[in-house]
Amino acid sequence: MNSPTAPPALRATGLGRRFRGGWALRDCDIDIPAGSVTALVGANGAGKSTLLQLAADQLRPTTGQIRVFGDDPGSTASRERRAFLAQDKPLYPDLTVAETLRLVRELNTAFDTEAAERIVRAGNIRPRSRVGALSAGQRSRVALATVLAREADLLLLDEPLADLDPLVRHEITALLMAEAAERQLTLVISSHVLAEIENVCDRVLLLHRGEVRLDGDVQELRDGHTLVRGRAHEDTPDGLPPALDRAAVVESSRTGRLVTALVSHVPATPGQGMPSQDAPGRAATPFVWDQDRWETAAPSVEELLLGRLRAARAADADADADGYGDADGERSAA
Amino acid sequence: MTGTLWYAWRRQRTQLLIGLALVVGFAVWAAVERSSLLAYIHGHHAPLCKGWNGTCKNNPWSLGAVFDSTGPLKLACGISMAVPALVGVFWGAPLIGRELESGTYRFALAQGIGPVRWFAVRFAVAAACSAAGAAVLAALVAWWWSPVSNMLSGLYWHDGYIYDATGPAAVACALFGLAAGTAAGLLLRRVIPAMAATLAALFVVRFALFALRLTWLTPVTRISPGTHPKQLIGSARSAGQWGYIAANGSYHDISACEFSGDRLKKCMEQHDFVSRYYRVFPSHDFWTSQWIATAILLVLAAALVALVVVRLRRRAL
Repeated sequence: MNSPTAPPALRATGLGRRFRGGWALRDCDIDIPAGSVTALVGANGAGKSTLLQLAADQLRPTTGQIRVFGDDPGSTASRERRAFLAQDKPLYPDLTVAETLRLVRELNTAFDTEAAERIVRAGNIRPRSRVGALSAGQRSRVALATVLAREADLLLLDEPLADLDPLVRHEITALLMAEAAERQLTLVISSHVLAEIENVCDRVLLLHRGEVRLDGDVQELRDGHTLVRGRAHEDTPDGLPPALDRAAVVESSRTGRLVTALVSHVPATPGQGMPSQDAPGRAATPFVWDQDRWETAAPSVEELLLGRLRAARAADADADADGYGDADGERSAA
Repeated sequence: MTGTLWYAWRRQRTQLLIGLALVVGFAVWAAVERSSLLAYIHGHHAPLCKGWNGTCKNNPWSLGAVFDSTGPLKLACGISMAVPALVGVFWGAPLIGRELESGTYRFALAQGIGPVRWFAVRFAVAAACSAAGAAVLAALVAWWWSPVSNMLSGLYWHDGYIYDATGPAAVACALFGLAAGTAAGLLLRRVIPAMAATLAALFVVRFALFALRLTWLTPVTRISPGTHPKQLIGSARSAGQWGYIAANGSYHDISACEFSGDRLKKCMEQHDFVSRYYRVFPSHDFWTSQWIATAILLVLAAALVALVVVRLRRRAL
């Protein structure tokens, strides 16, 4: 599945989607390799649902194109290879659990009824219960069963863990990971609460106001950044060493004499929000920190994303203050 | 039942079962009422005649047959006339509207069928069944009415009751109601406003068609020479035009000679009128008018379905 000639599970080129309120997604170039587990993160309205709906053929792009395993999302081939769990996990409340599973079986060419029943049974859900009468956790389990038993290769899950109590969230995550590992699935899981999926994803895709702010392998991203904490330099306003390339500073904050900063090993190109982690020929040349003054560590995924998000917010605030802002992306996302 | 057909059945079970119960109940009622009407007519040897001034106008049993059956027949017509509204409001409006309102369309469209098929299968089932139901009701009303049709003070083919409750236009109107409800549900994304819009659309279209139904027709002129008695109106509908024809062939309004008997004869001679005329729409005009209304309703319904398909193709949900 990971052969170099095989098309990626999801590829977007110049992808954009405009709603009446403005652009929900703009100029997105995304490659999600087959077999990966990608966390799609970003604030509410960042464009996560729009991206997933475009991939699931529930929206048509305004600009650019999106491909699922090389095919148009509207094609029959692509329909069979991907399964989509929409936000809030909509199911017909008047159907019973058994009828819901039957519906999915009737409307798809491939459906593993036994697997679906096994997943439902493991949650102590009676097949004759009406979906509308189930608890949120049980409903999530039924919804996931309809997606997992589809025998699809790509699962697009929009906020699958939202509104679940921690115990159920853990249970659902475990179920998802077990299936993903067993069947070499490609997963794209969106969430605005990063902690939910931090330990299960191997890739992260950060959207902000409809644009890609960070995209890559979690380990590479962590290795490509340094989180530093130390005593402020007296001669610089931000307290960071004078020799440090400021373009490499993703985000820094100073509280009295204490400075913390997230520093990328690859300085951002001016005018471009995101440093290209994968770009060949731009070898990372980490800055050498004075160990007496600075404490350095590889950032956790959460620290990395928080830093990127704060930097994006700050950039927006500056742009808005300058009158160049456009808040379209925030308002419009479906 | 399997595949999309099972899905269409399961999602529309309520409407299908209620519709079936309504049609069966109506059929039983119509059969009972009609047989008691026939028993009355045969029991009293009541002669049947066409027209408000027909040959049986003084027969108490003929009058009784018409008088007793008109009330229930009007109710039956009312029920048949309500079919397009019932279909549009309770079947069309929720077809897509409920799915959009509750978000379940995202679940349905995440399955292996595209949006157009998702709509087409359910709409086809709804259209076939509501058209069949409307046709059965329209036929039952026409069948029940037939012994006392166009008779004395009863119901005539051109009355709103009979015109809207029987014939092919009643079936086409049910399809229009379904299409209007479906389109309204898609455009408004909520069921209650879609229901209101459907009712409004049906009201406007029906009213317009009813107002126009006679303008599509050319009345027939009935001529009686001299002062010979005029032909009885029978089951025809008066076009509201009558008067005299002069020897030179010119037509003159009734106001030229508003008399009867000898004074009429004298007046006609004075004006050189040789015959009298009046214009009517014969009862078979019902079919001409009905087929025109049917064509208009079907074209409107097809346009609305096309609108829905175009929006679904564009994924404008």
